[in-house]
Amino acid sequence: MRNVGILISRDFTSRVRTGSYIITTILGILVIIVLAFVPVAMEWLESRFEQTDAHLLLFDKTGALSGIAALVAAQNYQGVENVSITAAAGATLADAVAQMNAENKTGVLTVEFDEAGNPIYTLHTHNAANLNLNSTVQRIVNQINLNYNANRLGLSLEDVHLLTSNPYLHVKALETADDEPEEGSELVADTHIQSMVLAYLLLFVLYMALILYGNMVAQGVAEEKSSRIMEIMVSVVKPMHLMIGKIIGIGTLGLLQFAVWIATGIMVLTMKNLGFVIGTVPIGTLLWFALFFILGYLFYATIFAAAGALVSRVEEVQQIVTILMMGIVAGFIIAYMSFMNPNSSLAVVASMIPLLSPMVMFARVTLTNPPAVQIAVSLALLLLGIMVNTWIGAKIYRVGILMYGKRPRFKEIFRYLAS
Amino acid sequence: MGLSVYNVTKVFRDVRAVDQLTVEIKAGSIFGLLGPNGAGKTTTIRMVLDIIKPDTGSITWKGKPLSRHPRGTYGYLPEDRGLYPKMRVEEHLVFLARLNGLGKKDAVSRTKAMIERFRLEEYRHKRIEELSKGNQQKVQTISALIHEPEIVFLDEPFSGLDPVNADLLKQLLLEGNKQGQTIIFSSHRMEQVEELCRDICIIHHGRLVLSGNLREIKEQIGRQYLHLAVDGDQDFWRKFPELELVGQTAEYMVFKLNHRVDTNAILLAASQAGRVLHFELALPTLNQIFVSKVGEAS
Repeated sequence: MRNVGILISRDFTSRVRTGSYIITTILGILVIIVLAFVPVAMEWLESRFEQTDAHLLLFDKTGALSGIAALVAAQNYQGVENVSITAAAGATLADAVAQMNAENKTGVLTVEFDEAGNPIYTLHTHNAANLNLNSTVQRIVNQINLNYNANRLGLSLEDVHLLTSNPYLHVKALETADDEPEEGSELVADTHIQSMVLAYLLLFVLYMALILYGNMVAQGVAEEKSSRIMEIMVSVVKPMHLMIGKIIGIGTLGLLQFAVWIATGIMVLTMKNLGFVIGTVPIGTLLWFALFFILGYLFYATIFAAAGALVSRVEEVQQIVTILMMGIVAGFIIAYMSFMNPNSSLAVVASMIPLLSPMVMFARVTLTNPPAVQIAVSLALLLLGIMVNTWIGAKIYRVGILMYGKRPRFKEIFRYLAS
Repeated sequence: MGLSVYNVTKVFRDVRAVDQLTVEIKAGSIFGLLGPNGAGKTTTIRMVLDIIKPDTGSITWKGKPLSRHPRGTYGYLPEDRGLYPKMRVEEHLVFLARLNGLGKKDAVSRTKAMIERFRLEEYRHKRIEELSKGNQQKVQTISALIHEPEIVFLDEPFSGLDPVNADLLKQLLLEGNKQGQTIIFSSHRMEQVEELCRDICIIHHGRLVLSGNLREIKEQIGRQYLHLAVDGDQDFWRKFPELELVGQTAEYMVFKLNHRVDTNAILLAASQAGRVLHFELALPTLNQIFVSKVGEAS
């Protein structure tokens, strides 16, 4: 065990001071800071684009709509600088266009009526390609039209409000099958979406971490093989210890990196109130993240280590690792699918399979409250999977690390396992 | 009691790398493990060190397998040299010394001493990958010896070392041996084996061809060689058809003798041909033994 400690510390310290590790850590910090400012930046950008001018001349020969247009302008655009609706003075469209040019207006909105008496709206403008203008005018037209039709039907303003208001849907989660309906806690849509976004972000980080650090393990083993240090190492320590040292050393490296990043995130969010209240990052979610990161990493790292032991040159690692990545990608996709319905049978089954469970179960746990039995079974199977992997990995490792030249075939790998 | 390799066989796929090999190596000896390329030397050492398992047979050091001795009982310099390229010299040596059971303080102080002894001071804080091949080899040799193991396995320890460093290593090995260290090394350079080893064995195709005390082996084979140099007629020996010229050094000719040769008659003829500069009935060199035994066996 003393040797494992020395090995862990070597694998950790020799990597922690490399340029690539320091650079990725710093880049991560920068990305987090930038991301934290995204909501503010978005708001600012939006406000810039909203500034599209929509100063309209209403050209309505019948005069049926001018009153309504004035009402809409007064109701909805009081004090809004970039929107105005005024009636055109001239008698023809040409006059109206001339007036628009003279008064520097944005466009002329003409209104005609078809046989059924329904208004037809047309916007004449030099700036027809501006989608923002079009959608602003569309909104104005909708409001005018709504009021016009309400008038025709003899409805009051209150009636219109009544007809167009949307009720709020209250969603209550029932903890168990025989829960009394009153006991369910209300799921507030806003916080649910927030926790979904957070869970999705963390899921993505988990996915990246498994690939990143799994690769690092395979790479590390292959490097030891290609630099031929392996023979010395296995003459001094047990291959199993060598493998465990490498996995834990690199895992610690990953945990440290995430601790730095998460700390940065929390610091940035508390320093500046950017509309994302710190209280909404549930500590429970972070703890689940840590647990599934560690277990998922251990599960995959043991396979990655064995894979690294099967190749002789660092360049070959990528080929063999690609196969393993498919497992991680599958887990990610299923976890992503189970976001919409965390209790679907696909999600429940996938969250029990060790290959997929680190990501799928993490998604389920953060989004709903799966039965404790399911969590326990999932964790137990994952732990069992880690043990089986370690045993198999150590066997392959033991034989693979001193094998150079051609890669063994599957038949031979099975023979190692049997020996 | 020493290292006992008993009836060991190892088969890779369909190649018998080691075939019923039995060798006894006395504790405290310097032992030469010889054989042509691919004879099974490295496989044998790996089995002794428990890196790979033999198919049959047993291997013990002082009565029990090496893996059951305390950490740091043995040191190993493998044939495939390799170190962590990104680690620094001093750090690397301390790391390996600690894995071999030394405490941190001990590991640091012995590393310092060895670095000085092998004249590596200026490279102490350099990365391994910045060192020349020869210096990397020095580092690796140090790592095999730094924890003062009871028994050391060195696979071709002198290849790649310049004469000065080869000499340094030789001294270090002799010192260690004087203090009771058992040293087993394999080499293709017979004159070095001859200089250092009291006992040898030769294996070929995984089988033992010859083993024992080098002097005894030589005496057993007998004085079969004649070293001869004459200042005068160089071709007088052609009168003796039973003389077979097998070699020529800068100083003398080497003849192989057989029992029919009358050496006194040759000496007489030589003195008549000119001034006799060198006349010696010599034991075979290890090189000659090696070539003839391996040739016989194949």
